[in-house]
Amino acid sequence: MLNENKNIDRLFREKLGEYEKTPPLYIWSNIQGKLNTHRKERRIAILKTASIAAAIIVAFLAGWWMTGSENKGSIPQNNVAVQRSINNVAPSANENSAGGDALAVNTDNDNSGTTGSSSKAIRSSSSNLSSLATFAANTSFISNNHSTAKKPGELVLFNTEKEFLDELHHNFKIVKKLTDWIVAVRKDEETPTGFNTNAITLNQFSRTTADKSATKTMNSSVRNNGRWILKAEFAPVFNNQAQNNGQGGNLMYNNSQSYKPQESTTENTFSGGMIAGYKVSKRLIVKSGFAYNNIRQTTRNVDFMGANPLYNVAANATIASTPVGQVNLDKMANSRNDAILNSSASLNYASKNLVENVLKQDIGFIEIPLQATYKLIDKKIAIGLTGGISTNILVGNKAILSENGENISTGETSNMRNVVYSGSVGFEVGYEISNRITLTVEPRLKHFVNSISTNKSVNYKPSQMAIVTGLTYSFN
Amino acid sequence: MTNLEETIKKCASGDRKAQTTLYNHFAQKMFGVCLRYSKDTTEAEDNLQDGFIRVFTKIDQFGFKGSFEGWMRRIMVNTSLEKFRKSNHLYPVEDMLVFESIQYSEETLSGISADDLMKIIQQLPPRYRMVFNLYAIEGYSHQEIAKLMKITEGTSKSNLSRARVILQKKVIDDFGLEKNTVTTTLC
Repeated sequence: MLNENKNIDRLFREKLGEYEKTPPLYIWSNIQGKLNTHRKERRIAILKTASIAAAIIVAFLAGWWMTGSENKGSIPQNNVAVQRSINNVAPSANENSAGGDALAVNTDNDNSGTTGSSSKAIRSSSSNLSSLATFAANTSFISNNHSTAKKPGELVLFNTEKEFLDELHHNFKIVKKLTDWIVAVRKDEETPTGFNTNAITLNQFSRTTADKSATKTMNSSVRNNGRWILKAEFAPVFNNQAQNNGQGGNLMYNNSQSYKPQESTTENTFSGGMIAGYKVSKRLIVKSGFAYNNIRQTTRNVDFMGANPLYNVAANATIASTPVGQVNLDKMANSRNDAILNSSASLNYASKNLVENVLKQDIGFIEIPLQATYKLIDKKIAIGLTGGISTNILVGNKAILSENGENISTGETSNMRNVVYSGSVGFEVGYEISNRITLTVEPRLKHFVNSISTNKSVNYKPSQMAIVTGLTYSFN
Repeated sequence: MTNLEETIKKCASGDRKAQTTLYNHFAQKMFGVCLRYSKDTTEAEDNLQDGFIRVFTKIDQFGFKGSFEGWMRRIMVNTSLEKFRKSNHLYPVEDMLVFESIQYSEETLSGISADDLMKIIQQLPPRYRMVFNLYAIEGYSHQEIAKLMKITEGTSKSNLSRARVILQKKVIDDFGLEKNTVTTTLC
């Protein structure tokens, strides 16, 4: 038995172990086709990732740049504030509180025309004074007729509440010393434009009050500086009708009374997405993100072209032509509708009108917009204008042929462009539900710059009207 | 192919010319492998196509440590096995005749063509075909087959045994070999 087993094994191993046979030529063509599709899919995936990454990087770079330039601008303001605060103080001998440093206070009583020189001097003199000025500017508890210090909330030098309070406590001592000095000087000089010492009686200015005031100011300051927003969008999209590309003219004309002409409609769809925004200024917001958008074309009484080398159609496929493009449909095995799909070179009008057939094309895009919104009115109800450009990446392409409601074949629209660009303008109306959440409604007009198909005979550049409803969250 | 390693590297970088060269070099052998694991030519063509796509998309993972042909062959076998698993064939075990002590002479063996044997092997129930191919031709152990096909070793042995019986009967029937002893039993 063992030998017998070995015999049968050996027989097959020897004869079939190195068996070779030449496969049909179309196998290699099929492999190449699938490898190309694979490459295409990989390219789209890479492009998609790169686009999203680029959008995020651009948004962050813009944010960083804007933030950087604002910080640069805040330094002279501080110095001006210091200078102006100090200028309110009558000049005196070096009785300052900056640890014996020579405080280069302007000796001129007049506040005008001294900004340049004194700000430099102060900057180099004492960090304590700089901090003091910041404190004064932020809290405004030093009132003065001539004071031109910045309004509360416009200077932000501290990142956390703790940091600010520490600095506040530190400054408190300095301010006390300085105020004592100011009061003494005022008493001596009795100037008509003098300081209202009652207003800065720091002895009465309890630490608790100071803390409360500072915290309140700080909160106000931070809220005004929350620059990032996140917006969820949803919109019904109304598409313009794709125009017939004239391919139907190539088809045989049929005078039969039972013949129903092909009817094609571009359907209305929905889109949705997430958008991140950066407030460049109080009124200007730059936005980017992603949204899903699709184009749906429904064609009834489809004119088919069956398998025929003249039409360059493979034996196992059937094509239909719609205004959005040519659709390649796979023939379904054992379909009872083979009569339709496997027709001859001529159009099978007789078959097609026996039943109601519907071809649905669904072409999906991921849209990566770069938009700017300028607020014309920035109140509880805000109104703004939005404009931008978008990169639309093809992510879905399917076609389904159904007959009397039953799907009989699937395929895809051929020659679709992988990346299409579009521009959009919108009119945004927002309602501030809370400090952080705003509801917006925006009629938006979007137009594709190039045709969605690479086929020259198909020139469909969709124009879409979307009513975009959005919920915006502001990161304060 | 003058330099297989170079061609493989070019294929990994997506060079179409190199892919064509590689396909032309190995297609016949790999089609032979696929034919053994399939019930007919159409199924073998599908497996060959899917197998080569897998070869080209994973060729960058080939580490040049063993035989490239062996690596490719394993891909073809795995592709065929996966197809078999997906189709989830549940063939009933047929009643069969058991023949014992069959002796083939060298002359008889040389008279049987490979194409004839291919037809016989393709007629085996799918699981028997898989197990027989893996054990008798590829040289896998029952343990390895059990792991590959997600069956028990016992099932693998049983399937092999039944495959041999069917093949023996077919060879005798088709080629009219003389039998020294024939005992007919019903399983």
